[in-house]
Amino acid sequence: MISIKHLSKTYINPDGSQLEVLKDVSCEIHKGEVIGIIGPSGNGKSTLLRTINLMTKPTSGEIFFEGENILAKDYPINKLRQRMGMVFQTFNLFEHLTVLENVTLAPMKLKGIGQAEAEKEALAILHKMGLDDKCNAMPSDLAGGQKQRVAIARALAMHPEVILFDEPLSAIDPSMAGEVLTVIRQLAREGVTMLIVTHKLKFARDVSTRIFFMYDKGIYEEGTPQQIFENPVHSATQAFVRQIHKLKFVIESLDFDIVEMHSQMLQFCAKYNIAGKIETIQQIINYMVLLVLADYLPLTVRISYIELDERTTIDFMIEGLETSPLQADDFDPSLLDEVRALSKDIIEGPTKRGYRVKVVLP
Amino acid sequence: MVNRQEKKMKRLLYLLCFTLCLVSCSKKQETQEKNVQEIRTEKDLEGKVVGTLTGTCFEIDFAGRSDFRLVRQPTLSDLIASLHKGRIDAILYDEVSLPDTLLHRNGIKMAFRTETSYPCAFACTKSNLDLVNKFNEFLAKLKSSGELKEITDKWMNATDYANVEMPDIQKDSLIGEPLIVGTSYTTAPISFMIGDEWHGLEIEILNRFGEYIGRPVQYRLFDFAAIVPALQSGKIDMAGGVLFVTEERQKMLALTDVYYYCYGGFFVRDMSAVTGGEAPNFSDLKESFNKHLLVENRWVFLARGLKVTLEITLLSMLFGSMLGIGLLAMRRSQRSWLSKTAKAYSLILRGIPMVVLLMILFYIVFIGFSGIWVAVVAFTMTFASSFATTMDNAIQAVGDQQREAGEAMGFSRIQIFRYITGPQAFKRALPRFKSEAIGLIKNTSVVGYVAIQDLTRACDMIRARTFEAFFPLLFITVIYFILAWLMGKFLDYIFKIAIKI
Repeated sequence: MISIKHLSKTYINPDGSQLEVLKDVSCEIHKGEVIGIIGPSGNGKSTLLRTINLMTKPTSGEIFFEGENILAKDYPINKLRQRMGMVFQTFNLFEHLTVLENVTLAPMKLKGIGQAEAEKEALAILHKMGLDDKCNAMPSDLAGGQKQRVAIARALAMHPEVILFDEPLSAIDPSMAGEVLTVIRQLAREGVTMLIVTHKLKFARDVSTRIFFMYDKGIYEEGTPQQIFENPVHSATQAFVRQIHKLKFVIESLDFDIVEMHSQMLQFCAKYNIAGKIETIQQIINYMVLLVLADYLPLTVRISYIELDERTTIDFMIEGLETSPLQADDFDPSLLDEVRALSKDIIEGPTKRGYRVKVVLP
Repeated sequence: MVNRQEKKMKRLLYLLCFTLCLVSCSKKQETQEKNVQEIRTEKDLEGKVVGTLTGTCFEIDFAGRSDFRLVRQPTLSDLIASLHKGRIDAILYDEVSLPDTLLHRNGIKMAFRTETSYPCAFACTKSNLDLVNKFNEFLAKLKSSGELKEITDKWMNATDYANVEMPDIQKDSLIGEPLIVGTSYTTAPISFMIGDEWHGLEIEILNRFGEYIGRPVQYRLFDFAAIVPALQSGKIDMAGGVLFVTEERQKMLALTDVYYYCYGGFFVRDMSAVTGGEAPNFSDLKESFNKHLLVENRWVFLARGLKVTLEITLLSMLFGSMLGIGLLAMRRSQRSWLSKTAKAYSLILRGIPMVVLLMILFYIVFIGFSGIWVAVVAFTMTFASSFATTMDNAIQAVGDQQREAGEAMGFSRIQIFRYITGPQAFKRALPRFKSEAIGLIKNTSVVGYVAIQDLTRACDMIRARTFEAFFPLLFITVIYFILAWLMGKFLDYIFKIAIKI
């Protein structure tokens, strides 16, 4: 369906310096495929996506859509774009139109469909997106997740042959990402051809039929989700899909700088899109440090976030200790009740450095 | 509903209070009598301020004087108003244009006249010697038959200028090309207007001359300082308005023979007079209304001025919006030389004062075009520039994201503007657009500089006949206010419709 050959893209900065983002990229995308495009920032994920509907013009190379070279001089770009939907990170809804008008605008103005028919179809699509009651709302009245579902509905209204998603979840509060994920999964099940650039590895693994791992100005490794996430060939791929983000504090005494610690935790959570968990993390650390392990200072606290599983854990390490503080004679087990309520699991055990208590967040 | 009416009433009340404050302030100022020694001879002028008309011979002859300070003002009515307000102590002016009756009515008297008299003549360009010769021929006949003296005496001795008879000339019989004469005078008895018709000594002489050469005469009103440039740029065939014969003018222009000798006079406030120059008094509101609007059909000036002001404003807005859309397209063009050209155009226009632009177009670029069209061109140019800038900024404020979404969906650039960025930009630009349009109405008040009789100039003409500033200025203030208000409403209405489409 889409065939990309020897594609390169070099940006020229305002100061005249050049930045090569894509270098000799080739790939094939077939009908019904869902391609997850992952990789560290700045490796051309979005650029690759945007060259497909020519929102970004490649420096060299060829792109064929249904056998036609879309980079040919007189190729009708606007007609091409009408056959491809695009969903943006920032939604980009038309602010002056209602939800319904956002969805009907393109079919009416570009395909010349009558208002009644366009509205009828738009209502059906919005129903599928679970937005029946928002038809007459203005975009500014909607939450992020709802906005993104409207944007998807807007793309679907043109019956696109392929939909390009450019980080569809990055600007949405994690608590609302689920509703958008559900919608995209549903489209995947219906066999809609999609290309999805995302930071959410778990989502990419679950929804894609094939994964492009973008690294070093190109598709570094491609394969089924199973290959990429479980048996990656290259070490760079492995490092990326298994990446664990960590934040560590050493608490020497009870009058440690709690404000500083909280501000670091906030930054950490914001960076890895787990801001929704910050309160739980703070509460667990407060209980553990001030109540449960108050007698075992100094101790080391480490917050870990595993990208692929989207799993967060908090380790408390008491150096030099060999026996469990939670099993000690004078320990009151009821102190742990609150932590148990907040967490999914508590694992403990001795290590080379000392005794470790691991709290796993739900 | 009740609330809205209450609000309206309140607004009116505020307006009324404001006007009353204005009136009481001006009253206070008027009553502050200066305890000054009366000026009787040239010696009394020591250390005083004397006002005269910009561009006159007096300005040159008396500029170097060390005993008094000379200030310049554009019209006689300004001078008289300044004299009453105590801003100047005396007016230096042609004796002939301030006859006794008019002086008495305005509480002014002549202290003394200048030692020398000045010969007055009409002027043409040097290339038009034919016309000068013909006029001289005509004037010689008029002199020899004693008619010139008759006409001069008739006007100089008259008390009620409106009733002085003008010769009955069959204009229809004059089939020649019109003779265009520029004058700066709207004071009796030299040249003044009653309704549509020009009257006065100069007018009578020129009308008779027109009959003599078989050409109908048309008059154009200029500021005194603008008369000579108008002549040089070919806007007028002949210049009048008590032009004194000076060496400099003889060098530059072709002057006719002298038709009148005029003394200069120093005019001061008449402390014994009680009638003239009084503070506006609302008790004789009716009389004032009568005097400024009804006598000699003076409201016609205002009505015509209003028509001209509206014509210029509306045509400039119409053409300005059209040209503005073109400029906007250029600004947003992907070709950088196009957008740079459009931006440079706005940048240059922004730096030129309206009056200067108007005069450049009138005297240099569009020679031979009527003032109104030149004004429409000037205001169209500036309105287009501000229209394009305002819309461009508003479109930028809508942001690239929606434009990008439209592009990705396959809309063309024009469709994106039409359906997506345009409507939002219009909404954002509305307040700015409204203030630009209202600014346009107010800015048209400078067109008097290129001999257009707009609303402001109409006010000047009434002031030139009544020598009172307050009521004519109040009238046009109210008219401009109403125009601005209506313009706001009109634009609101237009946008309501435009956004629905």
